[in-house]
Amino acid sequence: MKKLLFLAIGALGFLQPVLASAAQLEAFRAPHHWYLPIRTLFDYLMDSGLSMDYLYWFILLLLSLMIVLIANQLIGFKFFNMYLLVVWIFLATILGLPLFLISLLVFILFSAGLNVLFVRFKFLYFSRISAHLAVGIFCILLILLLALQFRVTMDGISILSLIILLFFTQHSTVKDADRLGSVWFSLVLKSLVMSVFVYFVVNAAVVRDLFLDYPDLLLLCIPILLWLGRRTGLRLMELDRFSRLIRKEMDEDYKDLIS
Amino acid sequence: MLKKFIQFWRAQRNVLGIDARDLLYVSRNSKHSIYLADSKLASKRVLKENKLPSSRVFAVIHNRQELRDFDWLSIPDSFVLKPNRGMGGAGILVAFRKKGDYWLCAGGRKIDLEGLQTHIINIFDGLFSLFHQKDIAFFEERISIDNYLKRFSYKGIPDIRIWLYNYVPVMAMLRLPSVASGGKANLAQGGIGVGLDLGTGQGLHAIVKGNQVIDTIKIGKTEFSIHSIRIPKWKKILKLSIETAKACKIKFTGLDVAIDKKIGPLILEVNARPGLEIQNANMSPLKERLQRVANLKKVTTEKALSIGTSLFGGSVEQEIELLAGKEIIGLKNEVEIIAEEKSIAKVAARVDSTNAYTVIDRDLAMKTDLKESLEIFKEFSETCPCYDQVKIDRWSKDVMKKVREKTDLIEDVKIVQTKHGLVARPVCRFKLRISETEFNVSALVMSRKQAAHKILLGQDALKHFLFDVNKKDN
Repeated sequence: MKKLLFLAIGALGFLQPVLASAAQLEAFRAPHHWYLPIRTLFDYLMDSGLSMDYLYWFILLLLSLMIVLIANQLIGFKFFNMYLLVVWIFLATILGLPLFLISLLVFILFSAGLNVLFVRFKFLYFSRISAHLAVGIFCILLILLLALQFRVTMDGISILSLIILLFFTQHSTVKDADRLGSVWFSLVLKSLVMSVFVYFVVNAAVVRDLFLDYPDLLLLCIPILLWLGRRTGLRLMELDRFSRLIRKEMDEDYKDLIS
Repeated sequence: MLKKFIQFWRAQRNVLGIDARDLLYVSRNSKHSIYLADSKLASKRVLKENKLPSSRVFAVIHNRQELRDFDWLSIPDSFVLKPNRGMGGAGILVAFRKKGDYWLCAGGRKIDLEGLQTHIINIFDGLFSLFHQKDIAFFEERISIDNYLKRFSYKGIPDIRIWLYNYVPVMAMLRLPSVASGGKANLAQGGIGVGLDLGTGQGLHAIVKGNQVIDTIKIGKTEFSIHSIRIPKWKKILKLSIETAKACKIKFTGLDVAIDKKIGPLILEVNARPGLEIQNANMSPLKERLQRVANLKKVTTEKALSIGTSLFGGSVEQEIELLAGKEIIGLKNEVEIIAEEKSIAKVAARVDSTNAYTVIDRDLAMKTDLKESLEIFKEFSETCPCYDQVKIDRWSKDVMKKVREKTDLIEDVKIVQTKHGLVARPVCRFKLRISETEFNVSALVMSRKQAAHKILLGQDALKHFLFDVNKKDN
């Protein structure tokens, strides 16, 4: 049953562009085609006054998730965690890349610094969570000041985005700084590079236009995500990790062929 | 090119990756068994209930209130401080002894009471635990390393990681602390991983830093060959790991076993998601091994041990056999007598390296084409009339001459001391097979009706093999 459902979703996803391309261009704009459910939904939402940006953020979440999942499950890149990366990409889009990078740097520096203070001066029995949050809130003030200095516009940017960034960054990354040491730096760097890369991909004009014009293409993502989630083969980086073993196995295979 | 790719594709399919481990095998465990594996204290309780050895717990600290009221004199000067749900060896603090106001820890680090309290608070905050969950800290007994393993390790405690599936041991690796790892057995930190033969516990291959293969281990000025490592009490260790997996009802697991100087083998940790580096250390892929034991149900400890050691052991033997071009046999072996390219009898034989000749029971020999010749020889099997060596030789030559006139199949005559005196016995040519090796041997034929083994393998048979007294059966 599960397989049937999987196949049906996959087939629907793959058939979408074919069905769509068979119709007239105006047909895409026409709202009530059963084979274009997301297009229909988007048109309805836009007719109701919802901004196109909001709709794109929905697309962006799914696309980012797919790219991050491919990087992790197929290639084997390591980063803090998938949620963090998707949230970073999302927030980079909302805040704009410069403000996002400044905020991230400020949060990481101050939170990690606070950790060092805790270890160095052994503030025993002191509530660390409240200390981190208090410092984080002052960090937001600092970010606003820095944004002003670097003339990054803050119009229309909700403070909530910064608070979400603060929580996620503190919880997922800064906690590990003491424990992982140099590995932590490498992980932060990898996560940052990956999120900036995905940010550029999903915000590229071609991708943006393509998915806004044909949002039903998103249905393609679902079978890919399902497939990635169920895949049990080796990741590309694992091929390198076990290269010596694989070579040995290949040699043994070769011996079998010689009669 | 395509052929090469197909070969590569076939080869990589047998290697177990992280996704296959999680989706195909970790998921076979029940939620409760995963909880037991993730919580060191819960697994220790199960081990204690089942009277399985593990290191003793001195004290558990659950929260800041307990930490504030903790009596530091209640723990000995030497201890190990661990987070309950720690992962990858993080947060473990080993204190060797107390000196004044501070404890001397692994790597020459000194820590005072405040430092220790800070470390415990870090544990409470989930700094070292899975998914940063709130955690508890506990003090346990520090293991004193077994003298044998001590010589291969630099400072820290070596442990043995054993992978089990369906309670059958499928692969094992010894993790040795090295200079590069600063005395930690963790492979990610530069520890040495030595792949072990499941049958004997002997070192096969070793790796450092992922997949860099090494042949020797250098500790101080002494250099050891990987093959010279042979884990003591190996069968006991395997048995303990099977019993632990059964007690925790965990079908797929990686167990860490250490050997204490006083207690012997004891369980350090139960892992629900064991690392995959063991494949590189053993130079052997895991998927095939796991698939071979996938359908086993209700295996007893003895059966699981026997399956694990027989299916996945013997790699060292295979290598030696490959080098020497000879098979290794044990003290007792199953031997087939071949006549006209057919196996006519399969009997248990014992090695007797003091005998120049192989001895075969007369009744067995009668089943071959030698029947007539042996009947003829019966006429000459009277007792030797004299005890003078020169006369004995002359008598035996006479017997041989008479036998030769009637049959060619008897090669020689040997004079054997029996309770009736000196008796002539025939020596005939036989074709025997042990395991895969067929060989011709001149064997003494005599009655062994009362003997447990109908064949005694003498020096002439043993020259075709390598002999290992520890090998149980062949």
